[in-house]
Amino acid sequence: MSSFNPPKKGWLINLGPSTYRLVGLVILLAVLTWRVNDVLNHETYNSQYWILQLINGLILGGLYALVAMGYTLVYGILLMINFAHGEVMMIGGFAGYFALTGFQALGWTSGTPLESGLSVLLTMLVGMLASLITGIALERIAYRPLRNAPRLVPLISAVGASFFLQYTALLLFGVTPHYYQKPAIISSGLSIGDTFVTFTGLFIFFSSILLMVMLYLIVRRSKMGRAMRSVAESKEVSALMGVNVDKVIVFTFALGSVLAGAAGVMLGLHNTVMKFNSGFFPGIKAFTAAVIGGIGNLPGALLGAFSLGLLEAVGPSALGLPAEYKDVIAFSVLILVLIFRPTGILGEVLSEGKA
Amino acid sequence: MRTSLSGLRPALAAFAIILYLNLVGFPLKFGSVAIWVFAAVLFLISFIVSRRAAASSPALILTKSLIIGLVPSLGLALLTYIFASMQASQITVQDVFAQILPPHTAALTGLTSEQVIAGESVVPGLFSLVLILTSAAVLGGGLSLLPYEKLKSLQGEKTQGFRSTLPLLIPLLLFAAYLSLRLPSVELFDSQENKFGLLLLYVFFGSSLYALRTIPQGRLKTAFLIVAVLATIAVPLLNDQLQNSVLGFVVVFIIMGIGLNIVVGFAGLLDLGYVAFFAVGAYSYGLLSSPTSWILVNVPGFEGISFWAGLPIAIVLGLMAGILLGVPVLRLRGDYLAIVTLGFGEIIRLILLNLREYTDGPSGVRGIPTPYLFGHDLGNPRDLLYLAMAFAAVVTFVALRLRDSRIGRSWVAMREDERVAQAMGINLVSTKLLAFAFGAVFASLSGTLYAVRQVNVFPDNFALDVSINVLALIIIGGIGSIEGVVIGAIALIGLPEILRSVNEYRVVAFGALLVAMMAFRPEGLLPSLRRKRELHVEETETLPRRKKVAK
Repeated sequence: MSSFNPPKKGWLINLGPSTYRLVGLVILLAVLTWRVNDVLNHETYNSQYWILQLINGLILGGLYALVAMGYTLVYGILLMINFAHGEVMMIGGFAGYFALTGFQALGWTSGTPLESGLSVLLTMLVGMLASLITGIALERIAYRPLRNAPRLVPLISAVGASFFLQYTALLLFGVTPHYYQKPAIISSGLSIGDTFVTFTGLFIFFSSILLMVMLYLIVRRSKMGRAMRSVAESKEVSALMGVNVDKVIVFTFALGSVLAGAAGVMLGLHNTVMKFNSGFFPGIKAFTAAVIGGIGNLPGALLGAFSLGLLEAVGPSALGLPAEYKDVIAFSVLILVLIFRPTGILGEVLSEGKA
Repeated sequence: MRTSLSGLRPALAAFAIILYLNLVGFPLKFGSVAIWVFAAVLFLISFIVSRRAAASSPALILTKSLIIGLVPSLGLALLTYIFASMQASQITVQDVFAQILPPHTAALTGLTSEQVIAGESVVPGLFSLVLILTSAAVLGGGLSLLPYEKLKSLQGEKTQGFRSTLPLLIPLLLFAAYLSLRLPSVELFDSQENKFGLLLLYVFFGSSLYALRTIPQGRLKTAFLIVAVLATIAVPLLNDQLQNSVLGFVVVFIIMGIGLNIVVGFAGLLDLGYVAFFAVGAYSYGLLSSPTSWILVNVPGFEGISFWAGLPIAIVLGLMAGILLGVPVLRLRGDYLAIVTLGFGEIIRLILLNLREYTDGPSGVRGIPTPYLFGHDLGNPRDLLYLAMAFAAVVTFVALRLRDSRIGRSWVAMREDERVAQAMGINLVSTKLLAFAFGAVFASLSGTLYAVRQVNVFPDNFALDVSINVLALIIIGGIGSIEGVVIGAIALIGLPEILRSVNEYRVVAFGALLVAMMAFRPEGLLPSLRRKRELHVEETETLPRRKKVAK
């Protein structure tokens, strides 16, 4: 935000002139400690439950991270919340559902491990492709004409696009939830000690890590990645240096959308259900994760996503609240992070004057 | 060759639109009327594309419009043929596309659903479909060849005097038509006349607002204003119950829109959780007055409060909610604000839903009492409409005064450039907070009215789409302008109430409208003049487009 006296950099909390923030933080921590202590003393849940929740949190974190990458990439370059990113993910999830149903009809999902594994990978590819097309069309139709408009304008367009896609999916595919049938290869799991880990969870966790490593390499090592970073710094100067800005922006959307498509299929496999609004809240939460980590910052998005996933999985039980409050916890965390550390845990990576 | 092929791009776009309308179930919903909708779409696209290329030869234009007609209609016919043959061989298409049922295919091919399932040939039907759609496109191209410029200049000379009074006459004629519907001798569309009357009223309000904008200041304008206001005041007396009830709903949204307009339009803060304050208003009055609420059941001797006592309480609670949310989040960058407010809106709904002991969770607050004025029950739609109109008038007055006050000017300054505003001595946080608080107060007020109107309120009444509806309404109407809010509320809240059958397309249409509006007319239908100027500044600092550089 604009300010002529840049606040002093604190280590964790950017206190500035207001000490009431510190007081607030202390009170908040006290209340939280008391609640957690209360729950732990009563031993409402056993250790197995906590481990299970931790694993759940990691899986959720991997999912959020994939989507958060898309938000953070686009925000870093265009300074715009791609509000419809969650819907791009949802479209990928639906495409994946239809692909998986097709493979099921072919008998692949329950066939040999090779066929079954192939069906998982191809489903993922179909989801990525559908999201890729949606994402590029979205950029072309809803965002590109508004490149130079005031900042509120593309944001409103994005909100419109989000609702358009969501309710289009409702009209196209109906209100009835679409149930994912897990392919045989990931439908079982393995027991480590007392805890049971599903292969779906392992698959989601490791493939999301793999995809993110690939993304990191693209952004850090490839020529296109260098162009992306330069456009994020300044569109004008990049254009002068011979970077095709339009192309870079499309590439950014494509990268984010492909990851979102993968996340959509993973979401379907994880929740085993896909609905027209399945993408909206995961999308918002992934954005939350990106903000928590520090927007524009890829490792930050990863960190934020895993923290949010863990908080959401463990939080309600740790505070002794029913699980319905997990969304409340996620949004409260966002508000708290923005109050106490507006630049996120690892700090924003935005160019001068944009923040 | 190249020039005639350039018709292919709009043809593909037309195909995409028709494919979309087809897949979201227009034929299923509207029967064979859908064909005429498709034809109208093709006609318009072909007309607009040809008008743009008016300089080229007629033969070229006709070829182009033929392509625009043929590509989408053949595509549609092919698709329908495939679907029909799948349905005939008992393959269920609706597993993928929920709307593609046999009646859908039947509507497009002029058969009955039984005939489609029995596998009757759809080719003749499809042939006429292609014929209708293609001729519509060619007609559009042909009509574009007429010399419109000449027509316009002719009209301008002859009808100068008539045209200046036309904007005044239209609303008056509409109102007269509306009045004539009240005559006992008039029978229309087998008792659908209340809806038709509402439609006339909507257009009356819209055209009056337009007339008030276009006519220059003067005696004529004052006279017209007086007539229009008197007519508006008389409307609830002339209406029947349903009409009053629908208009009451519209007015509640107008109040909300004016409130959000302060936040988004004046101060430029995108609030996506506006429904939270609406919910605060509705629930605080509801919980303090409904006989089934936790407070009335558990506090002995507390009989619940009246509307006139509940209203200030609801407003104060709304204000507090606004300040409580505003203080921490208003320091944030604009985009973060959108997400945080969105989250807050959801938090409120989730809390109302899950705090079962106090709010009754999903079963909501029931039996909210109606307001009394001097012992007179205001619980009927007519009096509620008057009540809402009175509040709307107050709110409009306050908003207009605010806009022109020192605070209003600092809002606008802040919206335009925070740095400069700060340098001019505007305290950003407190100015933003004021805008937020006013918005919250108005939303809370309209929430109370809504609760009274609905009698029972449930957490699901306060879902995210209410925020989006209000946002869409102020943006489509014209951001920053009060007339725009009225137009937006009529178009987005009032019209769908009449056209119940298209209700499921409502949100999709809002979304598409938001995107289209931002691209083509970001200032809205009836913008505030200042806003219009701002959004159409020649952008000098823009990046040179790559394509131009390459040449």
